[in-house]
Amino acid sequence: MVRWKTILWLIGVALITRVGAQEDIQLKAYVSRSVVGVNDNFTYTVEISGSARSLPDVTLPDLSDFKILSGPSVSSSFQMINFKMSASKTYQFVLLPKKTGQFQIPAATAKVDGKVIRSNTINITVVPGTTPPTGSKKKQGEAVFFRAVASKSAAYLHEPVTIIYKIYYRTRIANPALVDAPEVSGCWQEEFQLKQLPQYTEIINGTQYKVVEIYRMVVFPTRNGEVSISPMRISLDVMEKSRRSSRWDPFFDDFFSAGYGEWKQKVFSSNAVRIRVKPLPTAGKPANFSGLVGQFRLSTSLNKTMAQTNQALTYRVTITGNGNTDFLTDLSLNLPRTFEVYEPKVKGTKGLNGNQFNSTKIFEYVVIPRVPGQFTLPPLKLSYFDPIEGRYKILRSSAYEVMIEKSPDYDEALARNFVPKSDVELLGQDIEFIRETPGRWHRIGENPFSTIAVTGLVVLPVLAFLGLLGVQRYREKMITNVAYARRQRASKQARERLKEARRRLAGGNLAEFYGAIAGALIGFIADKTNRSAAGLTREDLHTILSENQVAESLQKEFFACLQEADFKRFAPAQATREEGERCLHQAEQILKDLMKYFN
Amino acid sequence: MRMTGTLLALILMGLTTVFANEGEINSIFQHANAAYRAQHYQQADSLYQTILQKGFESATLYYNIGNCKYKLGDIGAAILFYRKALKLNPNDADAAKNLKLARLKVMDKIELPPKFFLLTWWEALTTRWSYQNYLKLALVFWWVMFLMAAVWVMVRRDGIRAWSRRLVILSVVCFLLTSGMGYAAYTAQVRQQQGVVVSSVVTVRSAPEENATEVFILHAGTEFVVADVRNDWLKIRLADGKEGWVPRNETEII
Repeated sequence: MVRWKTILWLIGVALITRVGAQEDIQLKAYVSRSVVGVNDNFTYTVEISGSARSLPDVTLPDLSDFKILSGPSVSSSFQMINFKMSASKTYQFVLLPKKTGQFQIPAATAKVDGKVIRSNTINITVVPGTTPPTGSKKKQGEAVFFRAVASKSAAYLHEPVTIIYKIYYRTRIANPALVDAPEVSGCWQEEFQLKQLPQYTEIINGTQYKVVEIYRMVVFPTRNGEVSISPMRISLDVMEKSRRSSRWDPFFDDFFSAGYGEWKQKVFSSNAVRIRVKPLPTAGKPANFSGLVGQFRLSTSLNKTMAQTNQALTYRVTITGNGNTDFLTDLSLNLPRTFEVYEPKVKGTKGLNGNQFNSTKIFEYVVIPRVPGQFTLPPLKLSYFDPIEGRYKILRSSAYEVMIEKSPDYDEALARNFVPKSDVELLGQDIEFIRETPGRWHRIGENPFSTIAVTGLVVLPVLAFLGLLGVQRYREKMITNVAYARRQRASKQARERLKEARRRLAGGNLAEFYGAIAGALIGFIADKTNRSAAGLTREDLHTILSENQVAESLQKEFFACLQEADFKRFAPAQATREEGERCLHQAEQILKDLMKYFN
Repeated sequence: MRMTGTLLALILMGLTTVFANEGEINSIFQHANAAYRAQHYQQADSLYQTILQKGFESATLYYNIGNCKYKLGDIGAAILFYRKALKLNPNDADAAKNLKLARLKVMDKIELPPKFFLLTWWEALTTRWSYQNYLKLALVFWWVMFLMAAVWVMVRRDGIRAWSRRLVILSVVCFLLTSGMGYAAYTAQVRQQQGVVVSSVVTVRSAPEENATEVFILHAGTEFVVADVRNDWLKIRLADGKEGWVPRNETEII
């Protein structure tokens, strides 16, 4: 739709210009190919032509979808045809796609007599890889190719891997230029400029190639898994044999075309480099692992072993090896605390020898002894991982014996600052001796405080106190509440009276005996109901017993017993001792039964 | 009646087993002491350890093991055993002194910001005395409280009643104070787990995983509070507030 509109509009513009302008100026754009591979370059040309003496300036379109390899190269030409002068001017670009897809190159514009004229737009399809140029022969392998060669395809974390970029060629090449630099992710990267490009020959699939190394870099994988380095792309001018001669005769072809042909700018892409990264083993990893991976050597030096206090010593540590030492910024020297250690001066160099990376790091420590005496500077220990042997190793430097003499300016107070105050007091003190008596043993995990005992000790006073309160409460009730007290004591009193009666019987006083029996029976009821025993009539007794639902038979027994007691009390001569015994027994039984009805 | 009888029998049985082993334990202990005197620290240490294996402990035993470890140069373990001794008996002056000496040999120096004085007091109150002592005291006040309450209930004379009432109030206050302190001491001494780094160097990580980011490095003898436990990892907190995870087997719990 848009295209149709544009075309219609263009036709309109063309018509207007044809009618309106005598100059008859045309603007057109074309490309060498409309379907290109992502690694293929193509030319884009804008041509303005007309009969005017001077052609207007052309505003070139936005080409940001592509990489401009060269251009614009401008050329002009004039022609006289039938006394009519025509001029043309071309702007030519060599372009390289950035990515695959459909792209449109917008129109170029020019201003003619205040009016804008436009060229056509161009659609470009970019396909992956390379589209073979029509008619080219690819039988003997490519004349030129570009490769990235890694020193190893699998490496440990932080192990250096050298990658060399090589151009293989059998024809003449010139003007190498970088198009896309390789992108490195998941690696620490170290680049090396080659002062002289190494050149040699290699035979690939039976064909001899000349090789030139153009770029070297060393990468140190920083994460486990797989890291990849994207391809590098370069452009080269390549001598191509003329097509005509090859058609003519294959035999003479080489002969004639040697050194002949045409230069063509081409883009070459190297392969991507993939490195499988192995994690450092956890087995045998030293606790203070420095992080160095490679083969290393360690050497130390001390400028003097005899010195005075406050006189600086220089302690040099040199670490050389084929791994990365960049991240080493400080070492733990573990010098005695009476030595003051300053921040080290650190120098590092890195280089590439063939494809072997090497680095050297020098730490220069200034150490000032503050306290006189004989000291041992302990050996420095440095751990690293050796990827060839696949295990951790520890480097150990030599120890130094140092003799520090008191200098004239030695100040004990100052020296003391270098030993913490509390240490001064305890310095030279030994620990207390063991104790020879074991103290109290107890079983491990056993709580010396048994929970049962603690709970008991907590609960006991509570219970005792509550008990005490209960007793106190009872006592108070007995004092203040007569009815309650009498009721509570009724059974006890009845038993007392019966005991009294038995004593009387034993004494032979039957009159008093029967009186006591009657007293016990009536007294029990009186106590239980809090009434006076003297004031209780038969009827009263009868109602009380009935109210308390005493069994009919028991009531009968009660009154029978009472009657017998009353009767014999006043006629004791008629009573015998045996009868008395029986009556007492009966009264005991009655009271015992009655107690069940009264609480 | 029969219940208390069996209970008594059980207690007596327990006592006899303790006594039966104690003679043997004491003889091992004396052998270990002799080895220590002869400066055979390794031998002394393993003899003391056999007592632990037999299931017995005492503040003195831990203290002596601490001394062996110190003499053998194992500062992490020395600190661990001095701390164990102090946990059983917070008033052990020997253990406190030797602990101080051992701490001088610890590589990690933790700088502490000055503390608010009340906080220092509180820490002294909760750590210098074992929680059991507070508990004993609280129990005494508990009994006094009820005793006085009983007097107040029973006795009729006004003078004594007034005094007993005052004493009840006083002992209630004392009981609340001591039991509160006891609880605080219990929290500080028992519920809050503390530990010591025993392996020479340990890497503290940001998460309980082998390849988590390294936060910092600790050396043997550094003490810490256990903030969390997950599988074989401990989340530790140092006195200056730094936190991180360490493998459990690099440390020991006090």
